[in-house]
Amino acid sequence: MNSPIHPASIKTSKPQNIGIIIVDSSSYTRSLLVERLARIEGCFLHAHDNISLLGSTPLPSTTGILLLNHHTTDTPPFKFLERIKQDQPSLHVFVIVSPGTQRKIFQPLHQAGHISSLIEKPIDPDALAKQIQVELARQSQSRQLNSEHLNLLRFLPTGGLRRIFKHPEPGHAELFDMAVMFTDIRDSSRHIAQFSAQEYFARLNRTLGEQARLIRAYDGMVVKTTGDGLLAVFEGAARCHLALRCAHAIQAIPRIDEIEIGIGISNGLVLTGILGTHEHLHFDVIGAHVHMASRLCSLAQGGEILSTQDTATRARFEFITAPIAENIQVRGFTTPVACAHIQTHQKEPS
Amino acid sequence: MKTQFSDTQLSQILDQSLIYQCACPAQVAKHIIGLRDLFAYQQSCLNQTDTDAAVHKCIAADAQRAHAILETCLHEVLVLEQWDMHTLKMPVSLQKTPRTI
Repeated sequence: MNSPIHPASIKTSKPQNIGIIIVDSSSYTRSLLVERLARIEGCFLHAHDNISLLGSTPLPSTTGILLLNHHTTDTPPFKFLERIKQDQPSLHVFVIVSPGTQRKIFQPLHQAGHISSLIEKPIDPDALAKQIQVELARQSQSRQLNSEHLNLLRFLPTGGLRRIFKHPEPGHAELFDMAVMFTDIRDSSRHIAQFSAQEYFARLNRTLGEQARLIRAYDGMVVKTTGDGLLAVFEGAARCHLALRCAHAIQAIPRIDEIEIGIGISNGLVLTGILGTHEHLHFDVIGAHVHMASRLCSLAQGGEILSTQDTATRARFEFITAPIAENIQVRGFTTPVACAHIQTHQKEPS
Repeated sequence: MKTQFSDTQLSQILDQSLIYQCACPAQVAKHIIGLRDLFAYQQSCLNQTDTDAAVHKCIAADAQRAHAILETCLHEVLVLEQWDMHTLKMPVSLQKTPRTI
């Protein structure tokens, strides 16, 4: 059996979306556990009679707790427990066992950290529910902190840019050598028409969130979102290489609902600074290379990466580049600029 | 130590009861398992002095007596509650009525 059970008491306005999976081969004791745990707020339950039904794939990412009531007649699922904690280290695994021999056979897994809590039968269901509530609260807080931390990281400046933020005065500006990257969703009007506004925003948020995570992973900084895309900058000697690697990683993300992204990258001196008034400050980047990256982004088809030839050359990138036939004229540049199409497959080793 | 119930049988009784509210035999089974652990511990405990040996012997002997009494108690309780003494299945009448899932 495999039955999702949503406790009636969950407040829909404050979902925490933490899943509890109960595995118990006895329908009687399984239902006792479900009955008691269904009264806990802020979680949803799935009950299974056999651990093998969970398969060899990772549990859904919303799963926070696995509760296994082991019966003497069951085969001890040692391999499953070892794997599940390796796959999902944040998962809290409760195992309920009989004292004595049964406890002893599970004890090594508990000591090795594959079982978070080993509980002896008979249990006090209220005490178990309380333990689970404490764990849910801890996980909920941890998820919220992680989310806030990631949000902050996306916007935290890297390297020399920190100087700008030490004096967040309107008009404080400095010139930096930077690689500038724009991303944008192609054919967004069609997607907007295809989904409800709420659905489109949820998809957009997932796409932009994943891009921001990669930008941070490649030492970049998200300057701002630009409707359906992002503006990011990369600093340091390896900035062109990192920007192109990042762009490649973004294009390698499995597409959500056929959403295709175009990316444009340029490199050069960029004016960075704090704009606005004391009441409303924001960080921004200005300059010809920002225009160039934006222009290349608008020219890129879905799945494409376009960059200036200079950026591609400096990157010493291990992916193939192909010159774009026409030179691109952008305001701020006295002559047309040579640009390249960055292929998304790797060069053959020479 | 002589036993009426094997470790597996005691675990089976505990498996079916799970929670305290419907688990009087399980409570007894748990203490029987505890006494077996206590007895085994006394057998393997180091005897550095004569007093040590006497202490371990005394505890082991009383653990055995308590174990025999509790095993008899468990047997009587299971009979009173009309458990199936061959399969050690809890009678349906003793099960709580959980929500259907």
